[in-house]
Amino acid sequence: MNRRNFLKGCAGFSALAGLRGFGITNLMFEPQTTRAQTQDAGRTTHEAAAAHKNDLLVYVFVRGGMDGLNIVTPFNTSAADSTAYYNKLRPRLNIPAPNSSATRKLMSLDGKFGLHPDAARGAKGVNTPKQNAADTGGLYQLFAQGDLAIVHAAGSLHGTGSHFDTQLYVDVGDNKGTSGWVTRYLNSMQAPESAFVLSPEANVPMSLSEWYGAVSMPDANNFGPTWAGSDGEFGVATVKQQRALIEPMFKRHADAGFVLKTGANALNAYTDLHDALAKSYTPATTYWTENTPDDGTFSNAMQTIARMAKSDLPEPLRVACVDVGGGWDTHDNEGTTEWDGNPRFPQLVANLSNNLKAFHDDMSANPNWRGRFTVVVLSEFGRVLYQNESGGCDHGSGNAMFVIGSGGNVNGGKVYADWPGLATLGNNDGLQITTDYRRVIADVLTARMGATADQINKTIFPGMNYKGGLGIARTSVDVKTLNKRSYLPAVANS
Amino acid sequence: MSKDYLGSPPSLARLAYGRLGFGARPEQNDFGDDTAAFAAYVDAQLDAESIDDSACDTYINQMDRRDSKGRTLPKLDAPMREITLYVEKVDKANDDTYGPGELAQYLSRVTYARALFSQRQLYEVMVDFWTNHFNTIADDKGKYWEDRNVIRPHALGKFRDLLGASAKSPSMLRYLSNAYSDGDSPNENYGREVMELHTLGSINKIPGHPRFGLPNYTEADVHEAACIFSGWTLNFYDEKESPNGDDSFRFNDGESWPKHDPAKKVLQLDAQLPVTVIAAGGMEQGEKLLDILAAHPSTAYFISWKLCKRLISDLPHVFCPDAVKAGMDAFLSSKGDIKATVRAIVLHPKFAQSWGQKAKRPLEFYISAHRALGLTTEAKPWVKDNNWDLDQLGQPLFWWAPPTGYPDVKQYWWSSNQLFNRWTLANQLVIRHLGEQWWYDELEQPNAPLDQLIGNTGDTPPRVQDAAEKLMRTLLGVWPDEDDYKALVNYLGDGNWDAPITSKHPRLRPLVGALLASPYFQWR
Repeated sequence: MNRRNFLKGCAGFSALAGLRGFGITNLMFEPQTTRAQTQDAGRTTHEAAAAHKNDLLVYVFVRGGMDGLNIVTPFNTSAADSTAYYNKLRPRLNIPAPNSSATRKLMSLDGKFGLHPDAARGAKGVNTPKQNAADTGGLYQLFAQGDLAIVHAAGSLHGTGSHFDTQLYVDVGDNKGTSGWVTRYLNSMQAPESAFVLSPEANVPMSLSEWYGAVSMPDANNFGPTWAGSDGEFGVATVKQQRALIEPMFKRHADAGFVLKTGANALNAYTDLHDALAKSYTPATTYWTENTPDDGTFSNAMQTIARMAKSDLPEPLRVACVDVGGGWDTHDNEGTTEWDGNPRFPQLVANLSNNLKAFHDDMSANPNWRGRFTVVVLSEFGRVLYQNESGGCDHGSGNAMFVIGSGGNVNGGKVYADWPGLATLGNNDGLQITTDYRRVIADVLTARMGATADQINKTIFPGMNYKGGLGIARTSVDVKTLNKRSYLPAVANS
Repeated sequence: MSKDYLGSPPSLARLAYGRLGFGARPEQNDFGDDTAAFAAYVDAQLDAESIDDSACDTYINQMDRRDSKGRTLPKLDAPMREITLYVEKVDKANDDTYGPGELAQYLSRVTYARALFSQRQLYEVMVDFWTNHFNTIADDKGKYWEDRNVIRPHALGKFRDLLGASAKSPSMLRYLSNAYSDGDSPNENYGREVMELHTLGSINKIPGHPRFGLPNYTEADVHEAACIFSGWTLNFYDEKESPNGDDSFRFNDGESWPKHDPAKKVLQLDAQLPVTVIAAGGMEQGEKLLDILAAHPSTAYFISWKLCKRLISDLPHVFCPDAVKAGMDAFLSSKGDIKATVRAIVLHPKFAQSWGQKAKRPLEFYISAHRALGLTTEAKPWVKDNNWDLDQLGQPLFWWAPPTGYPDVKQYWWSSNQLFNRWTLANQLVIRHLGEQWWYDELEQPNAPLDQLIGNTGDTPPRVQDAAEKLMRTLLGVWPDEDDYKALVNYLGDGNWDAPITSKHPRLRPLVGALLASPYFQWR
C-alpha cells in the first residue's frame, strides 16, 4: 500500500526521494566476503553460527485473494474438469489450454496442470509481450529446473469469505492467540530479539505479531534518521547527539512493553545496518520493475531482502516476511492473458513470477546463499470457480501455494495436489481445500528451518497433528549437485 | 506487568486534546484533571456547529485551489458533473497528470489544514474515523464528492443517514464494485462488506449474548444482500455514449445492465427465527436492509467497540468492556445517534484512566507535532503537500487500498522504520518551521515561533533550565523521568543550566527534534 504513486499528476516524488540517503553510485559488483570473516569477536558469533544451520525463510503473502486457478490451471486433470467445468464456469475468464490455437496460453507443467503464460515469461515457446530483461522464464523455469514445488487446493480450513478474518487466521497460524506463527517459530528456536528478521516494507505483518525485534525497511536507500536528508558533518553529529538523548529512554525499563522494546531493538540493530547499507550494491539479476501493478513495491521488497541477506552482517538474515498487493481482489475486470485492453491479471502474475525468479537467481548467484533459502508463497483464499457478471470472480476457497528453493533443498518440479476436481464446489463456491496450508509450512520448517514436529504441534501451530508431511523440502542438500548447477539466468527468449 | 510509557501521565485536559483532537496547541487551556471542565469541553466539542471556526475557514479559502498544471480545481462542494468534467479535461490534456490524484491532493491539503487549525477538533477526528470506517480510495474522483456530501454532513449525526449516504456514494459504488453488479449474477463485494465492515461485523462479540462467538450472517446472506443492492449503480458518464451522465448515483429499475433483481429476499442473518424476509421490490429493498443492519445490536456493539478503539484503547473489550457496553446502549437507545454514542464512551470513567493505551498513528504524530509547535493561520502557508510526508510514514490520507481503513492499533504502526522516519520527519519540521540550521554556530537571525516556545518573550531571556522545562511541558505534556530531564537540560546548556538562551542558540532545534522523536511524544 505504501509508496503508491498517488501523485501521478505531480512530477517530483522520485526527485524528492533522490535527495536523500546513500545512492547506488558504484555499478561494479562487489564480490562478497564470507560472513564468517566479518564477525566481530565480541559479537554473537555463536548465534550467527546457529542461525547459519538453517535456511533463510522468505514468507510471501499475496494479499487480496490470488486467483490461483488461473495461474496454475487444471487443463487436463480430468475430461470433465476442463470441458464440463473450468471452461464452462469461466467462459470469458479461462486461460486457454496448451494445445489450443490461442497465441497466449497455458504452459503445461506435468500434462495435467498448466502455468499462466505470464508466469513463464521468456521461456522457450512462450509468447511474451512487453519483453524485458527480467523475462527469464519465471516460475515455469524454476519448476523446470526443480526449484519450485507447487501445492494445489491448499488453504486455511478455518477461512471464511472475509479477507481480513482469513488473513488474520493465516498470519496467526489458525491459532486462537494473537502472536504470529513466525513469531512462535522464532521463539521455538530461542532466537534472541537481536536475530535479524526483516520486513522490507513500511510496517511489520501480523505473522510477526508480538515479535519486537523485526527490522522494517521499505527503502534500503533511505534507512535511518537524518537531520535534513543530508549526511553532512553537522547532520551526522546532530543525529548522534539526538541518539544519545533518545536511546537511553527506549532502554530505561528492563521489562518494557512493545513501543519501548521495539525502539530499543531498532537502535541496537541500527549501526550495523547503517554501515552495511553504506556499501555500494548491485543485484546480480534484473528484477521486474516496469508495468508493475504495485508501483514496484514487491520488486523493491525482494531486492531489499537479497541485499540484506548478502550484506555480511554479524547477524545473518533468518526470516523475511513480505506482502504482495497491487489489486489481487479481482471482483471485476480481472482480465486473462491480454496485455492490450485489460492487462490487470497479466501484470499481477508477471510481477509476482518474474520477481520471485529474479530473487531466486540473485540469491543463488551467491555461493553463501545457494541452497540456503526457501520461499513460501500463499494467499488467504482462491476465488470462486465461476466468473460473475462483472468480469471477475468473488471470494473462493482453495488455492495454489508455491515453495521455492535452490540447489535441491526443495523437491521441486512437481505439483502436489490431492486434487478434489471441479465438479464439487468447496466453501464459498471455491476450490475444495484438500491440503492444510500449515502442512506445507511445517514441511519447510522441519526440513530446512530446524523445527521439530513436536514444536510444530505444540507451539508453532498448536493443536495441529503434523507427523511429517508431503516431502516438499529436503533435509540435506547434495553439495556436488549444488555446485554443478548454473543459477544465472540462462533461458533464451524465443 | 511491563511498562511501555515513560514519565508521569498527562492531565485529563491534555489527554482529551490528544484523543478527542489532533494534539494540544501551546495556547490551549490546560484545565488539569477537573472533570467538570472536561465534561464541558466534551459537550462543547460535540456541539461542533456552534463552534466559531472562521479563522480556519478563512485560511482554507485563501489556499491555492489549482492543480499541478495550474488548472483551477472544482470547489469542494461542486456537483459530480463538474468533478467528472474536470477529470475528463485532465485526461484529454494528456500531460502526465492524473485527475483523481490532483483532486485528492487538494482534498488532503484541506483536511490537514482543518486538523491543524480547526477549533472543531472532535468533529475532525470523527471525520477521519468515518472516512476510514467507510473506506474508499482516492484514485476515484468520487472521493472528492464523498468527503463533502457523505462523511462531513453525518460525522456527528445519525448512523443510519451516514450508512445510507455511503451506500449511494459514487466512490463507494465503484470501490466495492456495486455499480457494476447485475441482478442475474451479482458482484458480492459490497453485499459482504456492508455487513462485515460497515455494520454487523462478521462474528457476534456481544458479551453474554446467546449468539456470542457465532457468525452474524451466512454466506447465503452475502449473496442475498448482493442481489438486494443490484441495480444500485451510477448515471455513467461517457464522452460519446452518455455525455450527459455525471457518474452520480442512480437506481436502475430497467432491464438494461446492470439491472436490479426484484425478487423476494430471505436472509438468515444471525440465525434469527423467523428469518428476515424482504418483499419483492425495487430500491426500497436496499433501504429496508440498511434499516435492519443499522438497528441491529451487533452493529451497535461493533460501532461502539470501534469508537472505543479509536478513543480509549487498542483492546477495548479487554481494557474497557464497560465503556463499550455504555456506547452500545447509547447507540441503541438513541437509535444510532453518533453524538450520544461518543458522549457515553468518552465520559465513561475508563477514558480518564487510559494513558498508555493508545500510541499515535503517523497521522496523529504528524499533526500533533505541527500543533505542538504552535503554527498559526497567520504566518506562511504551513499546509502544503503533506501527503508526501505521510507517505514516508505509510499513512497518506485517502490512499489505503483495502476496505478496512487504516489500522488503529500500535502493533501495526510502530516499528524500526517508524521510529527512524518519525525522527527524520521531526527534524524536517523543525527546520521548516523553526528556522534552518546547517552548522554548529549560533544563528544570526532569531526565530519568533521558537522564541515563543521557549518563553523568550519579555525583556530578559529565559535560563536554559526554564527554556528546557517549557519545551517539555508544551511539546510532551508529560513530565519526563529524572534521568531524561537531566540529560535534556544538560544537553541544551552543555552542562550550564543557568545561562540565558534565545532562539539563536544552536542546540535548541536539535533538542526540539529529539523531543518529538522521543518515546514521550509517541503516545496520545
